[in-house]
Amino acid sequence: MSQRRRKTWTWIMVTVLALVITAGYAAYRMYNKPHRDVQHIKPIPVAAMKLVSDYEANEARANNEYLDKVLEVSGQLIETTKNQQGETILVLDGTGMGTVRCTLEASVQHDLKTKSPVTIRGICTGYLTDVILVRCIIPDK
Amino acid sequence: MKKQLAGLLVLFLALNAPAQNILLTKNGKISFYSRAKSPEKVEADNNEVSSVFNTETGDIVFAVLMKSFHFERALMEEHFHENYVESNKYPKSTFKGKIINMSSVNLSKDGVYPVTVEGEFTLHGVTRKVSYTGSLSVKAGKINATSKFSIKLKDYNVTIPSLVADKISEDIDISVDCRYEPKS
Repeated sequence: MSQRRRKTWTWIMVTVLALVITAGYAAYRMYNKPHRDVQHIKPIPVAAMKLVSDYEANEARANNEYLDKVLEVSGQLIETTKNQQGETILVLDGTGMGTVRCTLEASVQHDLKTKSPVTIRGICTGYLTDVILVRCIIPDK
Repeated sequence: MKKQLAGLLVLFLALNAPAQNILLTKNGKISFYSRAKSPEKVEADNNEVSSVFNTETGDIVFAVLMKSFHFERALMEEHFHENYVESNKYPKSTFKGKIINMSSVNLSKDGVYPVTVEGEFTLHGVTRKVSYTGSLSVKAGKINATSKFSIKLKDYNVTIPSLVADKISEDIDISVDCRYEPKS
């Protein structure tokens, strides 16, 4: 094998190796990618009353607008409770019929008082008899 | 869509029945996992399950938002919603049915009562008649419904891409755990 040919082969091998390593790293990063960061995604601001009445009026259309989006919901806190895992649920007044139920991220502490106006940020997962938000945080003012 | 509306109507009617026989929860738990051959656990939890249970007739309804299923791994969660259950297209899963042996259950006495439930299960836009076993446990007046059963993905037209077919089992184990409160 000539000197030149050997050199070409070396370059090809190096390039292939570099590509494999890059692809492997990209795949690894992709595989381990973190969950969406609710704190740093620009939310859609909406009043609790509007959110619930939009869902009550037309669920499919409301899903187009809100489903799986990060929402920042403002409304009156009417109840705080816990789910079976011990995570906090904040219930915001909606239309009188339906409410907005927000499951707080386990790490979030709060000192919100019922019957006071609050703003919660979380991911909307849809509507049953209430609108559900998960992985909620209380945004900084 | 019509089916979903009918499901909600049932839920709504159940909610409006006389209060004393009606138990409900808005934060029941449903988990599933795939008995996969991969070392990676394919499992997810949903803690926002709505359920209404009429203790007199045995009528029982569960409603689940698919997007509330949460995985440890973000990529898995994304694939689940986009490629498998198509949560944008089919945002809900419901079960409406009846406990057929309510006569053998005494809810005023502490204990664990085996039950059989029959009804219609809707997932990924497919509705099937099903029958599963579970139990009702009564402790200090609190009623807890649990069940473990498995479903076949192909029964609900959920297809596994061939690339990962050896990692995800065709059978998915589902467990239900709902602690009820009386309707206020």
